[in-house]
Amino acid sequence: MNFLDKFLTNRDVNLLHMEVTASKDNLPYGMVDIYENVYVYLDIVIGTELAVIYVVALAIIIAWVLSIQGIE
Amino acid sequence: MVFPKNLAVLLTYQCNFSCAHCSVIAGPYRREVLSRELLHKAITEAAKIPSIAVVVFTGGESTLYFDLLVEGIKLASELGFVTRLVTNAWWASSVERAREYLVKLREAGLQELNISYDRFHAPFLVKYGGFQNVLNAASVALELGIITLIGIAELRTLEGSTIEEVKKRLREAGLDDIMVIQDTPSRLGRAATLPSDMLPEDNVPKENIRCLNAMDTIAVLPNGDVTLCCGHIIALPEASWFVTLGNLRDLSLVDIVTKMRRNALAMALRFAGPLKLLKKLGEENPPKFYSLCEVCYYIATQKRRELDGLTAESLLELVSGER
Repeated sequence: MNFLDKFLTNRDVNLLHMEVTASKDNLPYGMVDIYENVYVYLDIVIGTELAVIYVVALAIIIAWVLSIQGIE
Repeated sequence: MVFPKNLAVLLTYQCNFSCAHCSVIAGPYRREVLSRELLHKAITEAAKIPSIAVVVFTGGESTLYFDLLVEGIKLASELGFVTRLVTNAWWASSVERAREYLVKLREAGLQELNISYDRFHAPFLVKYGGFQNVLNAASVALELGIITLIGIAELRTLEGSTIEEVKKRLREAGLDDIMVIQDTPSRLGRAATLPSDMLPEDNVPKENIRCLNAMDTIAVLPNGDVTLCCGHIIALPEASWFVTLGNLRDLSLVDIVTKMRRNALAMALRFAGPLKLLKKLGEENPPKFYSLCEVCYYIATQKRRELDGLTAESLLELVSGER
């Protein structure tokens, strides 16, 4: 048996959730929480470059939808 | 599942250089080589782990076992992995020789080349041609469409920045597209006696720093051991047990990774960080560390008894910030 086996847990842990929680401290100041979560999830799942493109595209779409509804 | 993302294969500890900062203590006298059987096992089983995207071939100097290296890259490439080679570029003594090596590697599927060059590597590379080797390898790699970067272990010395010097020489050679990154030396292995005033102060870890290498890059060592990171302690017998998950001779890579994802110590290193773990182990006045790997080494060699007193539950409390 390996020494590390002593620390095996049967608790249901969500590594992705833990990663997002732990990453929050390292994100740029001033970002809205929901953007942080979207960005970190995407960063983990599809990689940094694509995540940046997706988040920027999402922001543009939201801004566009708000603008055609007359909300500024 | 998000982890691991990378599989590092340390094909051998043998190296034609004996750099003073080498934590693996690689050198010409080392003879350990990963067997062909375990190389195939590691890569084919990695293909069953969807989170792994990149296979990195490193060592030692893995090009010393060129046929085995090409075989590994070919297999990894066929299975859909991005492949990366870490090398000291000894083989690129002329453009022709660089092309001879790189064409074979490219045909096998190599996508990324990571050349190690700094004040530690330079004296050994002189024997094979010097910095011109780096230029030869980089220019041919660019020509063949291999993404290339140069990894530099930067030191605080009177001679100035190696990174700036290398960037200047790359610009002069028209190789502006080559990326240069800073590697972090640790005072471990052969580097244990490096004077601390030579190490960059910005590497000194802060308490809330977690280890982004833990769980992210698993490593297969020449003896078949698999570790939960690719840090500087993995090849040091007195400390490697602290990050060793199992051996490929006994378990499949899938089983080893499954165990890692359920391991509270691995989670503590990634999500809380080695310094918080050290504090939990009762260390109130730790020595000054110049990298997170030094913290893990300290825990493995000085805090074994305290570590025995921990449980998976207490480590999960550390991760969740309880108590």
